[in-house]
Amino acid sequence: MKKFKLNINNKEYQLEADENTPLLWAIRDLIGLKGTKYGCGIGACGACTVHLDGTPVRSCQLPISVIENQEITTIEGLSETGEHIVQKAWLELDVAQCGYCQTGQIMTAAALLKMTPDPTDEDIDNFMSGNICRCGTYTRIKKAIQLAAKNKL
Amino acid sequence: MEEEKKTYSRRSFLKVTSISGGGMLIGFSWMANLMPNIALSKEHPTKDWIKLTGFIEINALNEIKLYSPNPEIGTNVMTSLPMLIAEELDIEWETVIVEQGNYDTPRFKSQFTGGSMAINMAWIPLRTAGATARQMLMQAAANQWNVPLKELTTTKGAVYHSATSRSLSYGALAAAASILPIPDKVPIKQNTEFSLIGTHQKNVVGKKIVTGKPLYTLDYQEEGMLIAMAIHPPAFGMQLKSFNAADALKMPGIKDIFDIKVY
Repeated sequence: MKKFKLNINNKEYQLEADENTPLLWAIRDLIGLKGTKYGCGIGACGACTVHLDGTPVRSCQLPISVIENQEITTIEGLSETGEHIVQKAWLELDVAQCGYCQTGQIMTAAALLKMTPDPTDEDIDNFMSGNICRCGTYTRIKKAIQLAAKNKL
Repeated sequence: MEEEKKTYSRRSFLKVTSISGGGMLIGFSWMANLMPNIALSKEHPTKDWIKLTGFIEINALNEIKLYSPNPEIGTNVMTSLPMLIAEELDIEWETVIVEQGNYDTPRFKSQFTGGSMAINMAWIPLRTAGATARQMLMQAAANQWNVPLKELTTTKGAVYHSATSRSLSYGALAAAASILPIPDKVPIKQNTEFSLIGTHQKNVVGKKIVTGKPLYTLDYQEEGMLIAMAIHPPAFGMQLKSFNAADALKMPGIKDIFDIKVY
């Protein structure tokens, strides 16, 4: 067990854990932020996506020992009240069904729009292709990203 | 209004056989849930919620809570099932508070979602629950005003007596309604009378979802709870013969390793 410092949603957390502990479990079990979901544990589904200095990463694949002073943002830190443009677009188009994968979808979409404010359909398809949705909300996800990009909300 | 003459009013056994060929048999009685329960304030000490049927709770502020009995698996039944109740109850959908019913089969009976069955099985029972509560609220108003039930109408969570221009909110009537006898035959609407059913309504937990708030099974945690992981055979149909857990048991945090018999 080692001591680690993590900066999550602009708050510093001190924790003691095995150095191989994936960031996902530090966020969920040690810190208690349950909005980030465990889907597959092998980086194949995107449900656990968080931002590391603004870049989307699969938190189930990232040992806490490799994180150094980077800022981590989870769904709780995107906007607690749902004011982020992506969250607003999601609500406008009623994207979610069961909702389990949507944290990852929203975090990936938010990162896409930060890097590419006006993405083409192809940009969206490429960037979102690692986020799986069992309910099949893909068409609304795409429309919501287009809506958020046009910033009409 | 169509008189609902089927035997749903007090007891109903809907039997579904052979779902997915699994020989599953579900027998349940929804209408046993229609019992008044004025002791509910024990569960909600800060808000005096009055239970009208197992699915509806109303407080004096005219806040109306509807319980969705079936689990949500992504087909949006947590939105559509309460709509069935709200339609017959004559309340404004925008003001409804929807809550997921806990696993409580004595109260909710059928708590099964799958095979496109949820709406199918709830169609008459949940509407009857809404219509029954509505009629009890109307009866409470009729008693208070000393007028015949048939002269009363309802809309947007209130009972009206147009002849004397009187009205009372459901919240004001709920306590009196909850101790009335449950009516045997309750009219439910004809399809042409629907104002909510058939309209598009957004996912009632949409806002919670986009802010990461809903809790799923995997998010459940209890003091001292252990996590179990299943290791499956590498191919379908394979059977476990033996295993050696000696090395794995030496790993930190491992409490036990054992085989389980499935089928």
